[in-house]
Amino acid sequence: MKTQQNKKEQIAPKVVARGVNVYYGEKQALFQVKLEVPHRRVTSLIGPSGCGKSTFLRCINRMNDVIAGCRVEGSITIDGLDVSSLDAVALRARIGMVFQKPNPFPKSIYENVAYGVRIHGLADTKDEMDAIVRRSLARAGLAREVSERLNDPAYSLSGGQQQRLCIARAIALQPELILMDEPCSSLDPIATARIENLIAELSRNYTILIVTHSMQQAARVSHRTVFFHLGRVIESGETTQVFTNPKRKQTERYITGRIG
Amino acid sequence: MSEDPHHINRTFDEELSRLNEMLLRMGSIVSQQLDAAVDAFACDRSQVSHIELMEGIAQREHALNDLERRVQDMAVNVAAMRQPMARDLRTIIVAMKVSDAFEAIGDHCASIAGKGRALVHSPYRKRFTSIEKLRVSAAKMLEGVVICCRSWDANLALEVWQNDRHINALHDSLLKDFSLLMVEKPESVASVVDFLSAVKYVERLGDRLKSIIEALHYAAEGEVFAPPPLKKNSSKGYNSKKTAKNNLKG
Repeated sequence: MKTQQNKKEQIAPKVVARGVNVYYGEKQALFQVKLEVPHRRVTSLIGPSGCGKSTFLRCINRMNDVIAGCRVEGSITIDGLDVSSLDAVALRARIGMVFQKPNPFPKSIYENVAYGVRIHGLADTKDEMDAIVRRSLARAGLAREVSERLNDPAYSLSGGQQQRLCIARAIALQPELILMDEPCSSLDPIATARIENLIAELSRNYTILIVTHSMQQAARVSHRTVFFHLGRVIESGETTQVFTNPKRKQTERYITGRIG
Repeated sequence: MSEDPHHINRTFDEELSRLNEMLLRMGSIVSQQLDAAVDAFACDRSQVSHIELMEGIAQREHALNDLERRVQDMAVNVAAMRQPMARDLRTIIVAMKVSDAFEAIGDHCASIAGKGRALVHSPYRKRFTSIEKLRVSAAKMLEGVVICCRSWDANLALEVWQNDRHINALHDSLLKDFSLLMVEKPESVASVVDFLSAVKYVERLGDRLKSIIEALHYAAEGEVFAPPPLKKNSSKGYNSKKTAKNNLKG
């Protein structure tokens, strides 16, 4: 049964976007975006500032719904279900998100991980909750560093640790998909390396979509890379192919630093 | 180097341009080296001029070694500092391969010159001037390679690559003819063996030039060079009876 499911996962993409147009008022930000995100793989979205990669990321968990004047057309499906037909809260419980700057709650380390679990009623007992918190921190590679200080405020952690705490908070809800919007842009190289290592480990169990401005990071962490430019998907392919021999001239010019 | 626009960071363009200039300089030195190496087989060369010729070859060999080291250093530095992608990455890797090949060609030329000098008193030395035909073919191919280094033109690269077939055909023709000479005049064996080893160096030089072309093609196109199919009778003319006769003239 599991093998059949794995086979199905290999064939059918996790996320499928078709004809996605996004408008901020009169201004169109995305044009007919067509994209497939494979299961349990890391997919990087690259492109110059304002090209629409973060906008696209936010379409998946419908965060654009809360932006006044924002209109989304086309379809985005997760495992075949159109995100627009799902309840936004239930949808966001299925999708973890990590932002550019670490944004822990002003609570203890433990509470940061437990909060979402409690809200969504995923633990019935204190023991269950403890197990989820411990497991999530371990998966985020933070357990050893914080095991003795779970009740300390999250803000007592370093920036890199805070970002890993946010990842632990996201994976505590057992999401099907993790969206990362420049997760390392405010981190030093060591903290960045830890997050990248974590992304590689998480990709065994999760589908990850990451927006990054660092081409080297996209090359290091992702299996597939999608290049956006002026609101359109210009090229999408295996990361090794995109970075060594891109098919489109625009991609080549962007990744070699010839257009911004 | 290409029709691509400049890098936003112009110093990267300058670095790639310097790398390319060093390769062109190596190509130019190798060209002089090839001419000088085959000149060592000239019959009218005095002992003094031979010494001068060999000194010149040694100097150019030293210059090639130095340039190769500089290209390798610069390529490593640019790769580390710029973390290049796509064509830039391929260009830097290929620059290292090309400089290595040019340096090796310089070594082959020195070996050819060494053989020429060793054969200066051979009674068959007039016949050995037939190596000039090989030089003409190799020089033509080398000229094409240098143009490709300047233009990074994949179509031109394919054309130049095919020149190696002429060199191989000439090599085979000389080998055949001088093998006959050894059978006919066994006392010529020692000299002819030396001569044929010089001929072999030119043939290897052609192979090195071919490897440069393949590398340049990879840099330009991002795909491993696929050799065009061999046409029937493609080497006709070089193996013809007329050519065979001319090889032993002198």
